[in-house]
Amino acid sequence: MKTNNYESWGRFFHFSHAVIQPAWIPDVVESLKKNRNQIILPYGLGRSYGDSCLNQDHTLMDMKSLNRFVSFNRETGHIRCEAGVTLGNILDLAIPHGWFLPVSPGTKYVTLGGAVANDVHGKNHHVRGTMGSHITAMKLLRTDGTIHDLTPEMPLFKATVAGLGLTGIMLEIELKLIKEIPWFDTENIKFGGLDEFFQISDESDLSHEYTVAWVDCVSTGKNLGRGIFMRGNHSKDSSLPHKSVKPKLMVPFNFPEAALSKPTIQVFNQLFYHKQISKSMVSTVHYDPFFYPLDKIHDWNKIYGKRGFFQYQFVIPSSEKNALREIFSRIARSGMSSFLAVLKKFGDVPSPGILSFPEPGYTLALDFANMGQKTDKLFQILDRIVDDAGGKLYPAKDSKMDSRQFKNYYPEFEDFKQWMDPNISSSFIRRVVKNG
Amino acid sequence: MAKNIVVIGATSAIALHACRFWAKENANFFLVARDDVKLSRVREDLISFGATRVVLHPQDLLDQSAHPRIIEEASKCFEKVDHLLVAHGTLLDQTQAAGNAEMAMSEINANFLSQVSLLILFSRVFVTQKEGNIGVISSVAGDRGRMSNFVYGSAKGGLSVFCEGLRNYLYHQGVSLTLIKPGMVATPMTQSLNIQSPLLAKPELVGQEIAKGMTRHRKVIYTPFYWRTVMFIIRHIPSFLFDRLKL
Repeated sequence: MKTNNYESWGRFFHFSHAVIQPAWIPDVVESLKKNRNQIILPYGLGRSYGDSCLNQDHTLMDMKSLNRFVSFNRETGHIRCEAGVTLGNILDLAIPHGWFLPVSPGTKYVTLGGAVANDVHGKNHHVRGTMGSHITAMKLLRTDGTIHDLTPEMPLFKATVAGLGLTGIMLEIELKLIKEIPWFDTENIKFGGLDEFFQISDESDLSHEYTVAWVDCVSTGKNLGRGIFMRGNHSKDSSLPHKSVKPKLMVPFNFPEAALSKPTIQVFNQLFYHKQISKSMVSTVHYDPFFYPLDKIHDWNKIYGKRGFFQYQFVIPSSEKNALREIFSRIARSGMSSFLAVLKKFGDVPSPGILSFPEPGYTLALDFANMGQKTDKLFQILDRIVDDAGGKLYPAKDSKMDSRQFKNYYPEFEDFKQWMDPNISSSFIRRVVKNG
Repeated sequence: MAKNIVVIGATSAIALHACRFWAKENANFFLVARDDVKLSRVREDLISFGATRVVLHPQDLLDQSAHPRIIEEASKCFEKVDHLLVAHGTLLDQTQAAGNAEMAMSEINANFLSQVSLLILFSRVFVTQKEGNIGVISSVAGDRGRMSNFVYGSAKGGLSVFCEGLRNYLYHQGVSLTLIKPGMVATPMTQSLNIQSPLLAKPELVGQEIAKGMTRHRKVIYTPFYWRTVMFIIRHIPSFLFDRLKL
């Protein structure tokens, strides 16, 4: 089937794909036999922002119907499922039995296969590391028809974690859950600038499992880098109910561009900062608003209209605080600031993934509406600061980096490439690696 | 006590999600479908969700002569059946089915005749036990014949009328029947049609509504709920106008 219906979350790329939609594992094996000469890429729920989940003019294998569980050991917390199972599906099954995801990215509408392929991280990176650190086994199908049962010490396992789907098709994945309740004792603390952020962040990382900050990137001068620091721990109050919830709102159409004008975003940032009047606010909250505030609004990416948007996420070493200041001031000056800027300090828990993105330092994620050349120009400025600081960009979010940058950010690719499946490729890897 | 549930067409995506609902309550299952590999995947899934015991019975349901054995085995497995869910079916491309008598007949067999055979045989079990609930997955397509799918629609329409009568009969025996009319659902059965519609529902939701409706012994379920209104309108469009439309 040929279609233009498969997009990534940023909705910037509009590609045509041939699509295979297997519903069962034997169908996956069969369809590979039938499509021997095709260049394919497994596709989950398309929550990557750029083109790492796309395969222009080639074939996508839509994995979302492969969403069955294989086993769930309620004593040890080991859960095994097909790669198309979502993190939301896992929470629904695990929570009533007292188990919880060890790592949660900003949305639960991702497949486990996608979460492994991008080695996703969350607010607790400084304690638990990335998703890949909690995967205990995988069943991987290569396009030559061989099936590999992988365990963490194997090189092909290390290539598959953060491997952007390029090493084969993940059929089954086993994950070790954590024994925690789905409620959080949280505290939101206002900070007036980056220096205050650095201090609160360092303190909080010792006392709290979950830490992240929202930063206002509109304000300049004395308000530069102000924001709200959110920190939390799993609640110990076992009387709270073990349940999951359903989202309600939807964005069914593309917003007009005026919705994203500078004044709108300024007002949004003002309101967000001043919503909280006191310096610190303490509460016990359910996991859904704590981890997935944006999941409440289905298809929120349509807020950015038909032209789509970009996410820009980088990490720079902790010592490069001035680079971070420079970035905030550049963004504020550009007048192209985003609704949400999310800042966090990564810890030093190593990931098994060869191409894994996180490393110790500060990571910042920003949304930018697509304004053509203006956006490109800003990204060039930001890229230079990130490069000079010895930082790198996150492939799952990227739409723009070139082959020189990729080589510079991911020297490990030289080691990784021997594990790539010759009949799997993506638009991203062709963009950043010549002859990819 | 854990419920005993028999599912015909247990590898369907909608059936799986209905079964997960009961599996969370530790139900026992007797599952029938053609493919034994797929059936064992469903068993693993339901056990993960908490099912107590899952018995598999691989069988091609189009083979009518094999139907009595299904009922026999299910009765051996369970002293009492709490729910029977009849969920099997096919969906052919209408442009093929309407132009090919053989294909049309096989579509009618897969979506109507085989269900009639199984329902008649299973009714005896329920009449003997004088309690329980039967759920039958029909379709909104059976509410009015439309040019886009009237072969499938007529099979489902026949099935709906059959079930209305059977429900009337079983009522006097203490047995309830839930007639289920899903709208468009994003399942492997429909994905080759490449439907892009805001009305396309997730099988998770539809499956859950089915299990809840059957548990409450509802008579007719439109799922998702808005199809009740949509089909009310479609049924009431006068024919002189209806024929001009390309529905």
